[in-house]
Amino acid sequence: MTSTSDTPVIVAQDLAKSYGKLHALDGVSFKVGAGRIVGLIGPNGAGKTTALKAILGLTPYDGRLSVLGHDPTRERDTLMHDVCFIADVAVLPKWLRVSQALDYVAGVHPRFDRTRAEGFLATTDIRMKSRVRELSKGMVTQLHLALILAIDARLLVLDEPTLGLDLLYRRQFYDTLLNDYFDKDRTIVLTTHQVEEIENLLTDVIFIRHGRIVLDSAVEDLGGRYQQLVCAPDQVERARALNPFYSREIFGRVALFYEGRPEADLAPLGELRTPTIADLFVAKMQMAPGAQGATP
Amino acid sequence: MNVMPTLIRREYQEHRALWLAPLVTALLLVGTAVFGHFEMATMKALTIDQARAILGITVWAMSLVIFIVAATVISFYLLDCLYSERRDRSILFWKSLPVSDAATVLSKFLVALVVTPIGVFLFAVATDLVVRGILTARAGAGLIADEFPLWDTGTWFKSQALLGIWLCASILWYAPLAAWMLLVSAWARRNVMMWAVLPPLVLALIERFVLHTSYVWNFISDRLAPAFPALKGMETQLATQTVTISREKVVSLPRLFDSLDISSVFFNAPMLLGLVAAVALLYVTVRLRRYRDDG
Repeated sequence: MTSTSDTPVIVAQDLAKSYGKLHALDGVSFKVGAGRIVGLIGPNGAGKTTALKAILGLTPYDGRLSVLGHDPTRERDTLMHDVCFIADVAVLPKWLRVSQALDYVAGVHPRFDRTRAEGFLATTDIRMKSRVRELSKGMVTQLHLALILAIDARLLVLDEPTLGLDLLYRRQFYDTLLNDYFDKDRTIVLTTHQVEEIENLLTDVIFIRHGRIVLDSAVEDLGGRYQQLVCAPDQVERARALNPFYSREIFGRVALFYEGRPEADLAPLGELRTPTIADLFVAKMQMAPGAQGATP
Repeated sequence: MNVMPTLIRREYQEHRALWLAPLVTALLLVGTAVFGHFEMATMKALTIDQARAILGITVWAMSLVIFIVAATVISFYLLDCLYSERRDRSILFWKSLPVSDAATVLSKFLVALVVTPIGVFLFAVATDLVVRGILTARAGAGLIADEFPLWDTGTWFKSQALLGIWLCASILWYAPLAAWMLLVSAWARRNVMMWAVLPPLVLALIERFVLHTSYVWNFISDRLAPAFPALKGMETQLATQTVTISREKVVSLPRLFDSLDISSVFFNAPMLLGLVAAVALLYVTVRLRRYRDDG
């Protein structure tokens, strides 16, 4: 992965974790540079959450992992001063009042800016006296976001932060994240199912499948690496001969996905474009396990 | 930034029964003192010593009721506090903030064994004063109170001091029990209560049927006996420091206090071994909260 900074925020080497016979992570290596927004994308059970848990020091693992220069297992208490996370929606306890949540975070976090959190909450319908159980799911997420955004952390980890929210809240969530929080000194790692919604947000993508990384790239490099060719039926034979790693039929035409093919080879056969992250995700997840293409 | 006070305040926000239950009990006792029926006629025949002893033991028993209620609520709190955060997954929120697992576990231990008991003690002392005032007023007018006041400051302080010592001894005595409940709360996937009670019970039964001895059972019942820690220092005095009223003997609290051997209450092998066990159990609890991954 490309990085804007010399020292990566996260370095994972041969990261592995098994639950019984299931290999949740099967020797994963990657780096995350400072100031990046990285999408860790994969189907259910691919190992995304396990990877995030390892990064946050929430679960023991094999292999080597360094987060902001710390070992997340041994130095978790130090690490958590600089790392923040939203593990899931609805982990705020039901009995907690909004004002109590602010008091608590202000009491334990040296880098919490209470005014900022209150300012954000003022733009919502959330009242200070409300308990979490009285808030809608979208409002709970807004509250959680208000708490997290007011913490001056270097790394923010989000695991399915918008799961179960309606479109308006989801859009608002990512807008707030991008406009009010993100800057070049901060790094965000997030997982999601809704790839389409965060396509324009991400600077980097990591696709993970069965505990292994199948794609790790800066978004700006995807265009040079992957091509999607849509061609008419009469060209399909020739197109297939060029060894696509995935293909599917849409309305009688065929979309074929290539990795590292020169444009000149493909352009005569049909309509050539850079695949969207969502298309690429589907292609990478559904391709036959053997057809790895030309993964560098 | 005051981490420990913040953590402790949080516990009372979540577990409101910790202060509500003793408060309601105290109010009920005050209500009993106001509206309850007392045999005033018999009190007229008492000497001042007898009257003071009866009043002393009555009010002391009321304090004990508040403590028993508090102990019950605290037990449920200990079993619940590290379990409910895993059940509703709010542990993921607490763990997203820079609070170590040791600080979290310690805050819960302090709430159960230091902050709440001290609060309840002050509660009990206040209730004691109110109830004494009410009872004296009701028994007072035209009775012995005119010549020999029922109130005696020295006596009162000694009763409260005795209660305080008994409370401190109980806190230390029950520390390993509290740590055990925290451990189960941090460990059990469900049925926390069952896991807290069953293993020691099964162990005692196995010992009984296999080895025909009952060391485990004796160990458990000693640890659970409410009066045990304080009795260590006053076993022999209980029988002698009494005031005789007709054919009954009523323990005189100030006299008991005077003859109490404080060092033997606190410095005895079971007490000290219990504290060592508590530290070990707390260490395991911190490790469990740190590394337990419920998936």
